[in-house]
Amino acid sequence: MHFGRLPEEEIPLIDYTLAPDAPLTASVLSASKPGNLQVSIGGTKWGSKEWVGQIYPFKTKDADFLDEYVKHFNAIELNATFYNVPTQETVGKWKDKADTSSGFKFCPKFPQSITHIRRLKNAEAITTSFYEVIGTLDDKLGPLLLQLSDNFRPKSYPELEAYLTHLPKGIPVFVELRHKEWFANTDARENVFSLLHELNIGSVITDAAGRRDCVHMALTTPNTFIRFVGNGDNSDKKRLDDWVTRIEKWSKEGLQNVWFFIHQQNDKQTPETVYYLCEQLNRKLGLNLPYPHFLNR
Amino acid sequence: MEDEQRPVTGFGLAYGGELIYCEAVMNEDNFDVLFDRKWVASIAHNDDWDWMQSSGVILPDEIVAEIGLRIESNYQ
Repeated sequence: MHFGRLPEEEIPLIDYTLAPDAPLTASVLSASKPGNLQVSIGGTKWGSKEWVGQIYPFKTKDADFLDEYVKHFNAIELNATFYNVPTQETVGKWKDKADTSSGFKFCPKFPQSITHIRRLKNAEAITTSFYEVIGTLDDKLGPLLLQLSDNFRPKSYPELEAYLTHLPKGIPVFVELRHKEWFANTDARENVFSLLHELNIGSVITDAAGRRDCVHMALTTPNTFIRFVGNGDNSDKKRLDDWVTRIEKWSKEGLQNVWFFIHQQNDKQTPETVYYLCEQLNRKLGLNLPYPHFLNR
Repeated sequence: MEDEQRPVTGFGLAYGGELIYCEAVMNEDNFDVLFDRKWVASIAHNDDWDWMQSSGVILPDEIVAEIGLRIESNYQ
């Protein structure tokens, strides 16, 4: 099973309408001052061979992908840190490469050994190690993504609360909930979003065809982290249009930061999707987001 | 106990001229690869964003890459 994906024939049957805002969203945004919206958009890897000759110069070597990536996007959902905690030296090299782009941010994902193997228990040492390593990113460090396992249910709420409560303060964190009970069970949903709000931790919104419950529209801080899982067809543009409309509304109500990451099954489509989203946001919200630039345009 | 089981990504895979059921079972910092319920290899993600085989029966690079892509798709 692949999270949120559906067989091709089922994709056109899905209603992609974004849910209304959760009540918490209005109260969180009303406590924030509107204006000065910051938007960061990117993909989930910088090493896509499909981009060579599309947005990367011909003959770009794998080792130079990050140097090129930062010329086209202002953020990356750093999934590499999920599989392993990299060395400080490696992270230092990533930072050096990104230093050529002033506003660029890395958004590292918590390691699988913390979230999926230890399930947030007895994870103090590796959490400390993870924070030390990613701290090397310094001014290039964006918020962290903590993805819970598909089978991490509301009955594990005490472990979640204990872990989040003891996280170091100062680096923003967003939590992605995946088990269906977090959304289907009203008490579980209200409890977990209240907890995140109290701890000033963000809630990830994952927009995927097969999991509409994850499009919960509950902002627990005046910031949003959206993981958009595209279908790679015409439905993507309409869905992105709806997101731009919602972000425009939230912006007027007090939204401060948007982290928007594109997940396409075919990596070649990611630059086009990002381009379209930037274009719409710039047009509707009067922003000046940088676009990916294509070699043939 | 189901909740405590290690996460598994399962899918059909064309290998050696036949379709087999492949499972990638998560460990601390790598994945065990099972073909039709039998362990054949371990693979890990490196800092260059590539999937590398760390032990087991030597698998073709494209098979390792395919398994890696399936894992990434699941935890996207």
